[in-house]
Amino acid sequence: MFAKLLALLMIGVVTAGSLLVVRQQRIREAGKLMILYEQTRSIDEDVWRVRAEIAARTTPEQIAHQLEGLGPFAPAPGIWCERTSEVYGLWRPSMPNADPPFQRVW
Amino acid sequence: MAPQHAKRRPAIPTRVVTPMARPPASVAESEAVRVHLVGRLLLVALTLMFIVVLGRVFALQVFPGEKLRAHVDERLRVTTEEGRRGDLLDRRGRVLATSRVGRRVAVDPLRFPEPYEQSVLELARAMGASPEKVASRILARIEANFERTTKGERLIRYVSVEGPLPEDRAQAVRYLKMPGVWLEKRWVRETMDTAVAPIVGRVGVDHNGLLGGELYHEQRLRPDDGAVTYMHDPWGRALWIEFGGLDAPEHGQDVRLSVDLEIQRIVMEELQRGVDKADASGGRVVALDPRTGEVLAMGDIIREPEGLREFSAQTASLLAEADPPRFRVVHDPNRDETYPALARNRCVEDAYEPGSTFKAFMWSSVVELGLANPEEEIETEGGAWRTPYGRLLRDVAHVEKQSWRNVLVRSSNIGMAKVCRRMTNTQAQRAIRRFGFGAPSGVGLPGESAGIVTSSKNWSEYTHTSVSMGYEIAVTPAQMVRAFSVFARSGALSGTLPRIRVRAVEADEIGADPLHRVLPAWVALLTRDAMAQVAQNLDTKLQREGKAESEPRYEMFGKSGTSKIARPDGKGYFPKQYVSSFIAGAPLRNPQIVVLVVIDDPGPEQVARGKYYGSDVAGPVVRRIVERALPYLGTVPTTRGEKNERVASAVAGTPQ
Repeated sequence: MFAKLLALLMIGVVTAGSLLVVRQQRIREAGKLMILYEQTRSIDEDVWRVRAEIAARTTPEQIAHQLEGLGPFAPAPGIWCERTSEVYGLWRPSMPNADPPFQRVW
Repeated sequence: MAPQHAKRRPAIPTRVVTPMARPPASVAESEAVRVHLVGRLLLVALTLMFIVVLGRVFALQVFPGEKLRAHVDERLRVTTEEGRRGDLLDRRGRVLATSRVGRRVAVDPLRFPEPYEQSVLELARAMGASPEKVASRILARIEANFERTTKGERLIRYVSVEGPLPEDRAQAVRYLKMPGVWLEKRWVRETMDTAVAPIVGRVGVDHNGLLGGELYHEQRLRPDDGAVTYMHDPWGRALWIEFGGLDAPEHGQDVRLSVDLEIQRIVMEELQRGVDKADASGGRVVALDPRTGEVLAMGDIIREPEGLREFSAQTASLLAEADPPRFRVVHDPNRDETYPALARNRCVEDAYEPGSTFKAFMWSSVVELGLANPEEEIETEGGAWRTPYGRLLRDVAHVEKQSWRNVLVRSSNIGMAKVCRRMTNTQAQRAIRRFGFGAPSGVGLPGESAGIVTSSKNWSEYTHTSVSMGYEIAVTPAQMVRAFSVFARSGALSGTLPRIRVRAVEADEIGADPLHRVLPAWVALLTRDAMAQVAQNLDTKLQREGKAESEPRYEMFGKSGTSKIARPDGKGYFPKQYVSSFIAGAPLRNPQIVVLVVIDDPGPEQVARGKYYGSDVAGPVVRRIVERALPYLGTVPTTRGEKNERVASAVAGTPQ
């Protein structure tokens, strides 16, 4: 009988211990979850901040300002660029004695 | 057969095991029975206790008492998870206004460490702020707390010092770990381009839209905040999120506006050049896509030339002098460098007398009513004519007779006044109103002016003449570009009025607006053709004067206008101060842009040289904008063949 009682008590103790361990693990995981949640928020905030910085540095004014120091640009070669050159008035087929400022590829 | 004796054998009684029937037990046996009984009782008692405990735990968990509930609630924390406000983008997706989280320094004066001066210096160094400013915020509250202590009043526990700080500064403050100093989150709205600030608008302290696009699109931009409910330990550390305790925030949607930052840059650069060159007091510009009514750019410059005098009752007498001073005509008391969005948007808020640019609307209305045809010869009296009611009118071009078409091309006041007299007052008023004048354009920006159209009651013969020349009527630049689009729209839309807007049109919205027809298409095209000659004259003039930067690549059509500036006291006009404007659409065949440039008050030198007209100061600006904006929009230049074709057809008298 004593053995049965002891077994019962042992089962009770083990069950309680297991429950405690599970609870502790749950708390730890929940804590990690909260930390991850906070980290996600923090990363989101960083992304928003960087996005604002990128936007501020890539306005047409900023780009034009940065390009100023790089000298004149020539159109890249290609059919498309013949059209672009024409649009920008750099070259027209009708221009006498003028070589196109790009290489013909066709 | 069974034997007989077997039948008579007595039955053996079965043993009944009952306590009563149990045979007398020994001492050992009776002890065992007792232990057995006690064990069973103990087991029953333990089971009952276990059930009671379980029941109690269940009761405490599910139906806690008032006292216990208070303790449980102490451990529950609900934090608001703020959603992010949507971005405002330009038509190509560039960011115009975006939100980020900033950090602001807050201080508890009671916990702020002594010596205060030393702490203030350290904090100011970390923040990158001036120690005086930080000290003024914190030390004032500390002193206030001393006084409050003596009076027994509640002490100040919170002072917002400064912010939002740059990220590196916020990090420096964080590393200080100074008692009583902490960083608090705060949403910051960044606006990328101050030139478009009046269109973008601004948000308030609570990050809600207050002005401009921020207010107009509040419903789409505004986020829905969420919440997290979680249990925490006595040290405030999160233990777990309650079931159903996470309500995720919904971020606001991005809104694409119609403005294009590159076109905005182009128009602002050129407007600034134009204003500086004309030594003007200011300038305004609006660029519109006539096909959709989208505002591509809108700008306003105010300049402070030297020698401006304030107009008042005392200084009004100076106007009688032979060489009157230059009075201030552009007022903007609200202009605030800190919040550009608060600046007065003169493109929608300030009306001006359009002068000759208005002639195109009256000219086309006359043609539509059949009161004149383009080739009809009109007597323009050599450039000076007195109306039947005695008003003297003068023309810049001294021509005896010219066609109705040339009346518009040469901007003859006399020709316009004579022919417009064929319209009744009602016809003239109706013509003006159907172009959208006298009512807000509906662009969706705050403080929009309806302009001024003289009421029927006050409409006189004098008014009739004035309006035909663009006087005695006030319009906003936004109204002008919208109305001018009637001539710039092509195909089935030709002659219709677009809905002007600052939000980009989505693909499914194209053609969704009901057509608001103002003129028959043929009248609109006829007027456009006449105005092409005006633009051609402008180009010729620029070439002749050496002001053209290159050969124009795009044919355009347009109209210039020059009007005097009305005195604030309503007693006429300033003698030598003008508003000069030019409005144009390009390319001629399939217009993709309408540009209006208004130069406020060209300088005295320009006026003395007679170079203050719209075609002198505003025309070149419009031409440069068109030449730069259309390549950017990918518009193919007008070919020489197209130009020749148009000239040939014009000569043959077949307008296109």
